[in-house]
Amino acid sequence: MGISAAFEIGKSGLKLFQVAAEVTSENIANVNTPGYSRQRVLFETAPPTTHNGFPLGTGVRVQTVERYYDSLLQKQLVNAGTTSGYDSHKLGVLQQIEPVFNEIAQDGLGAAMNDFYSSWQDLSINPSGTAERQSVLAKAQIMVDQFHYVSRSITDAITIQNESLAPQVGDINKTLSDIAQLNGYIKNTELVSGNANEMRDQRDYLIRQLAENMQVSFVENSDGTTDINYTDGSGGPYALVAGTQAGSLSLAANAVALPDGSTRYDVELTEAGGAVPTTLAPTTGKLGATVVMRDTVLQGYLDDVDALADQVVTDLNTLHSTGSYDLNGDAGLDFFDPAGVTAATISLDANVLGQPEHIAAAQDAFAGDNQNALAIARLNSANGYSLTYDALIAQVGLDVQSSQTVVTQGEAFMKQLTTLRDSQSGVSLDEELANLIQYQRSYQASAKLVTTATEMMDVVLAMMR
Amino acid sequence: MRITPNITMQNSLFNIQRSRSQLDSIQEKIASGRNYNRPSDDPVSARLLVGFGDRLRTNEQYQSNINKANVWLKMTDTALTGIATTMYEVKRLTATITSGTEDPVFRQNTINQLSNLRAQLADIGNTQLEDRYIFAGTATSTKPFDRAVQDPPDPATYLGNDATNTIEIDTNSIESMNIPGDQVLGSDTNGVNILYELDRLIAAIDANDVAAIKAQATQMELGAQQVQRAQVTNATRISRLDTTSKMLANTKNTLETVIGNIQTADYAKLAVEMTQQQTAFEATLSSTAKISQVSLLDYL
Repeated sequence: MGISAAFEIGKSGLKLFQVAAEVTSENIANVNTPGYSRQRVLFETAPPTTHNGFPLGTGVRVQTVERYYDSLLQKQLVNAGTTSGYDSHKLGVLQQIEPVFNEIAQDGLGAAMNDFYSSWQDLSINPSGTAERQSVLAKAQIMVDQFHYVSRSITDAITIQNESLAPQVGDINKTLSDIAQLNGYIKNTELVSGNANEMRDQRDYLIRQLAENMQVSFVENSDGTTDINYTDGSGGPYALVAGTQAGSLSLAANAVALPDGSTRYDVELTEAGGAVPTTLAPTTGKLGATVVMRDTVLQGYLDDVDALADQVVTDLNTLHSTGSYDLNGDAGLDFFDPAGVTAATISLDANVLGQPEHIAAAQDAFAGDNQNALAIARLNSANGYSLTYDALIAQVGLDVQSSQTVVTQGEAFMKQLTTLRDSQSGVSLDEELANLIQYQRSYQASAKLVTTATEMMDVVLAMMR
Repeated sequence: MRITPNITMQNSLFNIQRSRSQLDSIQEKIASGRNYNRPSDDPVSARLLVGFGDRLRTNEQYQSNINKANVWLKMTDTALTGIATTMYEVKRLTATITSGTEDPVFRQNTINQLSNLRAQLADIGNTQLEDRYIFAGTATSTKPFDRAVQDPPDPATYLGNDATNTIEIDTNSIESMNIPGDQVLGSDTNGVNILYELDRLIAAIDANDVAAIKAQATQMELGAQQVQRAQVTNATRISRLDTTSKMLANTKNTLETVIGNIQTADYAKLAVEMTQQQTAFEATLSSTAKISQVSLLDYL
C-alpha cells in the first residue's frame, strides 16, 4: 500500500460526496413536484485489503440511492382517493341542482302551485268574472313554466353527467397506458440494476389519480411491474393493467335513451390483453358518482317531479271534465292537455288556452255557480301537492347536507394522510440544506486529502532527485 | 413527526380555507338577514319554513276570500234592510185599509202606493254587484224579479234558482255566500211569495174584498218575518266571517312569529361570532405569514 492508496480513497470520497450533493440537488429541485419521494444515498465502506499485515479500507462507495416510501400509506391514499373522488363529484353536482329547489330564498314551483290553486279560490268568489278566469289561466301558465324549468334543469344535469363520461374515460385510458408504459421502463431499468425511483414515484402518483376515478386494487410483481385490477357489481376482477399491457374503457350506447332523448352511455372495459369489451356497472370513484347521479339520484328527483305533475294534471282534469259546466253552460272539457303527464310535457289544453270562458267553474249550467271552482281550489289541501313538493325540497337539502358532511370528513382524512406521506417522503429544504453543507465539508476534506497526498508524493519525488 | 415546508403550507391553506368559509357563512347570514339560505343549510328547518310559507300563503288567500265575500254580504245586508223597510211600509199601508173603504179615490191611492212599493221590492230584489244579480241564486245573469204588477196575479214571479254558492274561509271551513231570492221574496214553490201576495192584495183592494184584504195582510206579516229570517241568516254569516278573519289574523301572526324565530338572523349573536372568527382568521393569516418566511437559508 503506497501513497497512491490515499489518492484512491480521496478520489472515492470526492466522487461519492458529489453524488450525495447531486441527490440533494434532485431533492431540492423536486420540493414541489407532486408525488415525489425524497431520496438519500446509502454509503458503505469499500472492500478492505490487507497491507503489511493490517486490513485497511479502500475508501467509501455508494450502496444505493433509495427513496423514503411507505407502501401502506400508498394503499390508504389510494382508497381515500376513491371515496373522496366519489363524494366530491356527487356534492358538486348536487350543489348545482340545489338552487332549483331553493324555495327558501326565492319562489319556485311550490309558490307557483300555491298561487295556481289560490286563483281558483278567487274564481270561486266570482265564478263569472273574466278577470278571475284570466288570472286562473295566467297562474296555470306560470305553474306549467315552473314545472318545465325544474324538469329541464334536472334533465340538463343528467345529460351533462352523461356527456362528462367521455372525457373521464379518456383520462382513465391515458392514465392506464401511462402506467403500463412506466411498468415497462421500470422493468427494463431494474433489469440492468438501474435506479427507477422517480418512475416509481410517477407510477404511484398515477395510481392515486386513477383511484380517484374508480376503486382499484394493485399488486407489485417481482419484476418491478404493478398489476392493477378492478371489480364492481358486473363481476371481476378485471385486469386494467397487466405488466406492460393496458386495458381501455370505452362508451357504448344503451338501448334506453336519456330523459332528453339523447343517447345514454354504458361504460365498457376491454381488459389488458383482452379483445371483447365487458359492460361495467361503476359505483365507486368519480366515474361511479357520475353514473349513480345520472341513473339514480337525479333521475329520482325527476321521477318525483314527474309523478307530481301527473297527479296535478289527472286530478284537475277529472274534476274539470266530469259533471262540470263552463261560462256558456257547456259541459267542461280537459283543463290540462291529457297527453302531457310529465313535468316536461305538462301544458294547458287547447280547449282553455286563450279561452277563459271555457274554464268550468260550475257544477250546474248556471254561470254564477262556483262549486267546481271550489272543489278544484281544495285539491291542493286535500291531496297535499305542496306537501309532496316540500318533502322533495327537504330531501334535496338533506342529500346536499350529508354529502357536504362526508366531503368535509373526507378532506380532513385526506389531509391527514397527505401530511403523513409528506412527513415520510416529502422534501424538507432545511434538512437538505443541512445535508448539503455536510456533504460540502466532506467534499472539502476529501480534496484536502488529495492535496496532502500530492505534497507527500512531492516529498518522495524530491528525495529521488 | 417530521415536518416539511409543504406540510406547513398545506395545513396553513387548510386552516385559512376553513376559517374563511366560516367567516363567509356568518357574513352570508348577516347580509341576507336569514339563518338559512338554502335547503342544505338545515333540511329540517327548510322543511318547516317551506311548510309554514305554504300555510301563510293559504292563510292570506282565505283572508282575501273573506274580504271579497264581505263586499257581497254587506251588499246583501243593505238590500235586505231596504226590503225590510219597504215591507214595513207595505204593512203600514195595508193596516189603513184592512176594513175596506167605499172611497174609490182612497182605494186607488193605496193601490198606486202599493204598486210603487212592489216595484221598489222587485228593484231591490234585482240588486246587482258587478253585473251579478245577488238574489238570483246561481243564475246570476238572470234578472230574478219583474217590477210590474201582474194582473191577474201570477205565482211564477221568481226567475232565479234556489242554488247556493259556498266558499272556503279556512281549511275545511265552508260558508254559503248568497241567499237565493226565493228565501227573501219567496217563489211559487218556496215560502211566502211576497210579490204574488202583493199582487193579490192589490186585486183584493181593487175589488174592495174585505175578507181577502185581511187574509193578504196576514200574508204580508208572514212575508215580513221571512225577510227578517233572511236578514238574520246574512248577519250570522257576516259575524262568522268576522270571527274567522280574526282567527286567521291570529294564525298569521303566530306563523310569522314562528318563521321569524327560525329564519331571522340574530345580529347581536352573529356580530359576536363574526368578531371571534375574524380574530381567529387574522391570527391564522399572521402566523402563516411569519412561519412561511423562516428558512435555514436566512442563516447560511
